[in-house]
Amino acid sequence: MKRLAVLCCALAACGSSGDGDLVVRDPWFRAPPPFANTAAMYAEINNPTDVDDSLLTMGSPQCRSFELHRTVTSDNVASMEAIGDVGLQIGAGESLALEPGGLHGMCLGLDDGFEEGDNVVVDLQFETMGRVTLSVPIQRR
Amino acid sequence: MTTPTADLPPAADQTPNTEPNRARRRSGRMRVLAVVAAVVVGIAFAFLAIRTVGPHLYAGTVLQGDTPAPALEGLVRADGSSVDLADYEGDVLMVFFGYANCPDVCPTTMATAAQAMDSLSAEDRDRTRLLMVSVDPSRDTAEYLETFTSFFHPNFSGATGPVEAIDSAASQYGIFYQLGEGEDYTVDHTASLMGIAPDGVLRIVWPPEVTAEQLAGDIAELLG
Repeated sequence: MKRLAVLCCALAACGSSGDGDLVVRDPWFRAPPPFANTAAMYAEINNPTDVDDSLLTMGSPQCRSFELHRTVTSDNVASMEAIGDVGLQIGAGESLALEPGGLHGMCLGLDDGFEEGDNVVVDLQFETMGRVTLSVPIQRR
Repeated sequence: MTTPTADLPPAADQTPNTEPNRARRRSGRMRVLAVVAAVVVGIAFAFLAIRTVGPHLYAGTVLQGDTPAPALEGLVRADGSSVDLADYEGDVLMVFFGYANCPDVCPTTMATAAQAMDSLSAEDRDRTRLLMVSVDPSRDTAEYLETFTSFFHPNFSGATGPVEAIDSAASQYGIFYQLGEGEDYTVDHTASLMGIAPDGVLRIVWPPEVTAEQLAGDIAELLG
């Protein structure tokens, strides 16, 4: 797991500018069942810089579309909210958790062969840091 | 019972290595071992007693009463058979209302339930099953629900049916659901897991955030 985090940090560094870098820890897709149309991506994004940033969009050549969503659970009823153009703010020194049952990236219209063990190229577009490209493993957890 | 120290042989370096001395040493060691074993077994029993006597604290909300679980009438499985709760008698049946295009909540719940299965004893696991009822019957076929659920665990299966049957089941189980809009619509739905006990009574409701460990603990208790 540590090696993965380091790898992702290295990848994140490639896509960022300036001295401080956003750190994307432990990104993963939950392995979707065969023939599934959607898959959720999770990660923890840390902003150790002294500049506020925002995650604006996500995209992948292996997904027809990619949306930022938030699962909101109220009285045990789960519903999904799309995150608008404003994106998700990550204040200076703060972290943003994309996690099951909460914020997540939703890949729609999966490529064939979106399977456990594979890696998916995902671009994250940040307001300040620009584009960060990750190789995200598909895992069962 | 004699105390273990009373019969301990003298230290080896002070004892001539004669045949009777060796025999005595052996029997002394056997006694020490027996006492240690007795103590270990005693502690184990004490722990078991505490666990058995202390009431299990359910992570889910326990429902009172002995009314049999609503029948899930009119719902069919992938093989074309109708859902019949009598098939699950003697087992714990987890019931979940969800849909196969659900990207976050349903796969997370399925994965949690599958992890709970993994931590049950083999015997309890054989007696635990999950049925996912579709809240999206226009997109979910029974065949696809089966593929979706069995991907997470072989004891998991799916059921769907006409909207009227699903509405009726949802209402009887206290489930809210509402379809969203657009081509890739999502469905708002109650994401609780419900547990039907081996006696066929709807006994417990787990919140969406229940952990695999909590689920496994409650299931083991329901199986008794």
